[in-house]
Amino acid sequence: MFFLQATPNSNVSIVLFLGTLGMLVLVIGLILFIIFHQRKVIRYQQRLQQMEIEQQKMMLNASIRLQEEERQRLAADLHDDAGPLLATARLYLNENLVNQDKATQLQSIFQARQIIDDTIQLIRNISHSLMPPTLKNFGLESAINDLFQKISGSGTINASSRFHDYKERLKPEKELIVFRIVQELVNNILKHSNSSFIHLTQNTHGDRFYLRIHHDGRGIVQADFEKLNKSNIGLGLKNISSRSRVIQGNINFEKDISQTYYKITLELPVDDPYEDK
Amino acid sequence: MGKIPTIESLFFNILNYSFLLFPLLFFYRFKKFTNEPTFVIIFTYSICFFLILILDPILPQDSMGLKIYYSAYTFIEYLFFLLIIWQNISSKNFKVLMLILSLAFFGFQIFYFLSYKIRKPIDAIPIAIESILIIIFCFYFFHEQLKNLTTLAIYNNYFFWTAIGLVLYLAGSFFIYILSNNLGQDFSKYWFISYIFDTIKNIFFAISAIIFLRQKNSTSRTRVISNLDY
Repeated sequence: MFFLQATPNSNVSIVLFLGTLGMLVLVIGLILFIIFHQRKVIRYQQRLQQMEIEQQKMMLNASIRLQEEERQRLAADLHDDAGPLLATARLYLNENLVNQDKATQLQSIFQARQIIDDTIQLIRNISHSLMPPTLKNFGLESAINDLFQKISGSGTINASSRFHDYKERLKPEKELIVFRIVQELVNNILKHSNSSFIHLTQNTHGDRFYLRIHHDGRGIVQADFEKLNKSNIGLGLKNISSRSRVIQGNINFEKDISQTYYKITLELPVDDPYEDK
Repeated sequence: MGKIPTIESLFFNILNYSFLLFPLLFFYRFKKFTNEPTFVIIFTYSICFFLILILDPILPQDSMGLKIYYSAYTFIEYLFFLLIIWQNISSKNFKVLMLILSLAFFGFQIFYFLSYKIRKPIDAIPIAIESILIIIFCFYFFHEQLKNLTTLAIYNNYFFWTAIGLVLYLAGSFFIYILSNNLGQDFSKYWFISYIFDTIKNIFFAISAIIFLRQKNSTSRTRVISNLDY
């Protein structure tokens, strides 16, 4: 009412009225914008977190599936190979009870011993596939060198490895995880890349441990790795990712500057020597 | 027209007693509020301005007296608002900027005090600068909160409500102060606008105190449950 009555200074009154109203609208508008923008950001973050959780779930499922597959393979190896071998050895030994002929008895004992030797070798192989003895006894460097020598020995691919700075060994459980990652990576290269060589180098810089694999075949870059990680395929890659997380490591897939080679870098913190103390 | 002084005095009284809203809450949960410097400053501000407004009728009404009164009012008000915001800004660089701008403002206020004509009823320009500076500081606080992705919704932060109170008060009364010297005799007719926004600011200060208390209560409630693993 005051604004309508204010005739002498009506222009000033209008300016006052509109100015105050304008300022209020502006301020309230800005505050509302801030609130809604922040809510949008929070919602976006929650969605990201949700995606992260889903990815972790997927990784967990992948590792469980892998574990189950490993168990099935073990069960199959024991059931299909060791089981029949031991059953055959038993048959030969049973033969001794029935047949009294010395020569036949000796032959069946010899056969049974042969079969038991085969079974021992088979069980040793299974055990080695679970925990490589070189890794357990001599460490990561020897285990990887051994693995690469075996691959190179097959003659299909040229494989070499070189450790530059590995005086302080990683913890055994960490070494096993690193070895499994390398195994999986090498396995993928052999299966999919069609490359003519694989070269692994190791180095330590400060408190970081680095492993790098080069190959000249078909490979993937980080974007492909992340894409495959989020998809339902690529069980091995999910496994690599979850394993590297366990050791607080980072894995990076990229192409060499020359665009000729693919390189995979695994980076992880070295163990604190005083941690156990 | 005859009702204007009555309405104005009603708004004036409401404003005056609204300054007691925050101190009442402050005394209600004295221990909790004293741990928070922002609330101690708001409490001091409220008490200080309640007393200033109570003493308003007995203050010298001559031109020089009014000039000193208005300048001191602007200075003290700015100082309190600056301290309140200072407590809640985390960027050191911005704090330095706040300090520089404030020193420049105080310098300008002294210059304005010494140079402006006594006949003008109110120090409009320093008030306008004060409003702009405080609004900028408040919006920087909002910007900091937006950048900080670890915080929950911005309105869960008690200081958000304090800042809203400050911004609404300064934005709402901005034009009345700026135009105060152009309104002439009609000036007193519109003065109630600033009373309304000042009251709104005090209400928002009280809301901010309530939000703070609610947060404190909810955190202390979770601690009460013993022998429970989280």
